[in-house]
Amino acid sequence: MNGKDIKGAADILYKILNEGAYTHIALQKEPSKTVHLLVYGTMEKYFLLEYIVGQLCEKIKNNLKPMLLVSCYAVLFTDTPFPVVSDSVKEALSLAGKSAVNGFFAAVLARTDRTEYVLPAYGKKGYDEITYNMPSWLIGMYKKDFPDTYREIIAHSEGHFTHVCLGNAEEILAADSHAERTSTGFFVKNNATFGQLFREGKLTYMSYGSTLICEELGDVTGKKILDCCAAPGGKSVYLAKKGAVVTSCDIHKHRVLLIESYAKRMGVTLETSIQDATVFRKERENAFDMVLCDAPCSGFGVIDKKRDIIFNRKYEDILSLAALQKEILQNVSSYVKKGGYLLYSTCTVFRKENEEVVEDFLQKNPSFERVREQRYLPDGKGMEGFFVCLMKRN
Amino acid sequence: MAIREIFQEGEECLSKRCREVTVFDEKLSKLIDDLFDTLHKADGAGLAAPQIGVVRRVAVVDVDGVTMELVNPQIIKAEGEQIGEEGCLSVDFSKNCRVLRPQTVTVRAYDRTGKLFERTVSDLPARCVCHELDHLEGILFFTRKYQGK
Repeated sequence: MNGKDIKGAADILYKILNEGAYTHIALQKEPSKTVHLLVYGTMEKYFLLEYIVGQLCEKIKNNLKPMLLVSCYAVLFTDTPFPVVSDSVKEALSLAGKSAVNGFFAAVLARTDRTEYVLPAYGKKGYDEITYNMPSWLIGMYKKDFPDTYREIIAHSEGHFTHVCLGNAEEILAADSHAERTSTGFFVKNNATFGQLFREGKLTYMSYGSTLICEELGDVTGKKILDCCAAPGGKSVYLAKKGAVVTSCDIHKHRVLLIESYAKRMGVTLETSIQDATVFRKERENAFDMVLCDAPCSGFGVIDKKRDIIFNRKYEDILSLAALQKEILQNVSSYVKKGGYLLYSTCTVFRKENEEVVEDFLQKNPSFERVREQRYLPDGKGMEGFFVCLMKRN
Repeated sequence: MAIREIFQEGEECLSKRCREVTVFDEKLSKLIDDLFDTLHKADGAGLAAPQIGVVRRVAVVDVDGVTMELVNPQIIKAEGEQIGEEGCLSVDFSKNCRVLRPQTVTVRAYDRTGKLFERTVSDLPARCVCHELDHLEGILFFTRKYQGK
């Protein structure tokens, strides 16, 4: 570990915390393993480190916080000896042109090393945040929706499983003999062979949950389907592979390009367009057998893959997302033919974005009726948290 | 039957957040047996998997007539307070100190066969359960040192 590593990790953490960067993208071009370790480690212990730092110093400027948290992490959780960490931090500060705060950092780190902080006892302020490494409003959301089981749900949200589908069973079993069959594909241990098959378009990585959402539509052969929030295109391609005629839209141009390259790789044809799902298009009215509305959501059913959402999302975001979901659902529902189906899905577990959105929609639109509604919770065995509701237009 | 080495403070496995157990197999059963053997040999009250270098959410408790094996444990209810001296097989005894813990806790966990159970314990066993659960989060007891008189 040297000064560059600490500075590199602090810069990336700053981007994640203050500019809403995605961790895996921010780290993409970073060659140093140590930086990866420091960034992921600091995020895994973020609320613990924040508590410690908050106790050891009165106020910390926003631009120094990432550096201090990374340094504290290095002191407490890496096997690098304290003097080495201490020197590296000094170097990092001079690289960042912040040598003026050398003394302050040295003092805080020395006190951290001597365990001059006290962590909260069970049930006291801060205990839950540290245990679950989540902000208290988020723990509150889980507690409200799942008073009895929220601990398990949070714990299970962390498991990581690789699920592949649309592949040839023999090829998959040849690449990983322990692959575990699911109703739509296989849970596998990822390896280079899968990467190769993926590039050749012979299979694709798609979470088990996403495939189950598509399966809700039943037999789609020859059906005209609109996927109105489609990027990166997994569900569209899945449905097209099952024989549907799919139109995929997304609001952003670069995301539509993602859909196109996904379809090209998998060798299917989709009609794609850049389209804001809240804006009405006359020519699409009553034009589709099925509309899949996989709405933008807070994503709290799949935390493991996107840990940054814990830091970047706020309670207000959930409220504004719910409003957006209602707006999208209302708009795209008019594209469904009489007797056709509307499928609403999210990858979150909160009632505000799921049941409440559907309830609101059905109340305002008596021509739609609920056929099936299912909420899946993370079970630690590969199932992720998501919600799906199939509605029929009469 | 195997006695395993107990890792000491400073080892990385003791500061890691442990992963959930997803497979209940022979290996898990062996791990739990080893934990009990190591615990009895060291004459301790409880032992968590990270203390023997396994970063999984498994712990055992054997104190005051309470014997439990805990897989993926969660505290679902806690009541009261107790302040008492605490130590740890992974930490030098010079760091022993008083820690504030709940008087009674209800723990929900799986056993080695994957069966879910709940159990309520008080006094020392309650303290022990909290202490072992801290290990699974990578937290050592002295960081929760009680500051009052």
